[in-house]
Amino acid sequence: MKTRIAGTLLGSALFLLASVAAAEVAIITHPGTQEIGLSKTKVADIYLGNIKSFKDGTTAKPVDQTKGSPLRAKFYKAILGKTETEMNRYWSKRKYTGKGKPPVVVIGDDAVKELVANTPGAVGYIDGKSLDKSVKVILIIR
Amino acid sequence: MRMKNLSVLGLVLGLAPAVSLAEVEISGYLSFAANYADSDNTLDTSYYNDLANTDHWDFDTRSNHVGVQIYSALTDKVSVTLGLTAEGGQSDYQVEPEWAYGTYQFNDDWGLRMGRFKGPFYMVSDYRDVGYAYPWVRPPEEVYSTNPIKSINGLDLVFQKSHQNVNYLVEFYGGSGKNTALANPNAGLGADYPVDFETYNSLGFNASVGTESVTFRAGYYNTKVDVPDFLIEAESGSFAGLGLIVDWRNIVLYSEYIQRDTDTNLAGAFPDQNAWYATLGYRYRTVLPYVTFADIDEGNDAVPNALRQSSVALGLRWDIDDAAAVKFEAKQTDAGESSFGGPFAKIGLWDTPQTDKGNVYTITFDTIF
Repeated sequence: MKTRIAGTLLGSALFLLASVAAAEVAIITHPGTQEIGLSKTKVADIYLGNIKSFKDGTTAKPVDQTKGSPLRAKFYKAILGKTETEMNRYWSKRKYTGKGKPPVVVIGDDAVKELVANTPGAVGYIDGKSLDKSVKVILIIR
Repeated sequence: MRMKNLSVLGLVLGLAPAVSLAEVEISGYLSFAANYADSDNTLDTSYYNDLANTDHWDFDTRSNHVGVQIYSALTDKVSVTLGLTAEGGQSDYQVEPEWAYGTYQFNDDWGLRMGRFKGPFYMVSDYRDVGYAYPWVRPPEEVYSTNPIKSINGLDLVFQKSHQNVNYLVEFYGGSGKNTALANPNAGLGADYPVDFETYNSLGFNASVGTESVTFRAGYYNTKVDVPDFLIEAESGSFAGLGLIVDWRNIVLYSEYIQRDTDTNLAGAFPDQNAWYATLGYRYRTVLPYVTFADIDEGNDAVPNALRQSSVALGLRWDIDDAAAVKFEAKQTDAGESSFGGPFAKIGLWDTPQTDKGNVYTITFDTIF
């Protein structure tokens, strides 16, 4: 983990110079995503399943971190304005009726980055410190 | 650590063109309830019997549900969903594939489900057993007992669109199914007597429009029914309903009105019924106290054996965790008078004429995983 960060430090110098030391959440997407002006609202809609694809037709694929991850809690609060309980309630109505599908859950920043870097249309969130050039940044939540 | 997650594994393998593994996601729910019924007059064969015992707290009732859903996205457009469920009480936790369908998503707005699925007859019909999803201990039985169809085998065409914070849904579905219902307490069989029936040549429609705070829905479903035990063949039954959910600034409101209409020959087993409920609650931190008024009465073609009952229930939902809730409810039922009088008067959802109000007490534990 430590060598990994050291390795990415050089690659993401720009981000680190601009970033603040406190844990910030970086919302990332596949490098091929053309739609760069993704607003908070649009990211929220992707995570709620209201928007299913980008303007160019690519299927949007949201990726979640595991329940209990402070990043996940911060992301939901900042982007969706919802608690874990509210999100559970939201999906429990839709998941079992075939009317919606919650985001894929992946364990840890490295897994999120790997999945997002290799899946066109993927959107995810990681700790700002884990940022590197393999993914495109949409937003940073401080 | 990474390899634990199947989707990443699938991705890694997917990079090698010859091998690919679809992502498989498993989730589920569990509801466990204890019920106690209290009535002056009952043969213990009432609707409330498979739900509650009048001597002691009953822990093995059909209020207990466990469901596991296995979902796999095969491509961007094709997915497969399987739902295995088990219920307590008479079913004795026999595991059944309550839903099993393939979905083809034509585009962002249109999708088609093919196979077995739960029909959206009333507002929460298709997630009726997911206790965690709604405020009550169970969906008000005055309304929900009128449609005992568990699943339909057929097709479900769904249109869903989100525009400027308003969500639209229009759904057409149809198919056939073999189901079992508890007999109408007025049919003289005892209301825990299971009656097998078959539905076919059916068509349903479900539409809803809503925002984060308010959702309004309307639905209609019509089907042909065979009830071999009652020598009923090819009779029509229909279910129409309107529903409203409000969740605004901690004020919670759920309300529905339904009408069940059946052909004359079917009315012996399933008479016409009109029913409604209104639930009003207030969410304060992790606690949601609520009150529900409910009523079931004879339908458009009034017959003596229609069920008549009104009730008031006081309940509380307490979210003890972000994925678990405990609920309490005390419900008082008042069996209704019938203009026909006679032996069918004042039975309600019990099984013998009630001389006084009947009470049902429930405690549930609901979780999702």
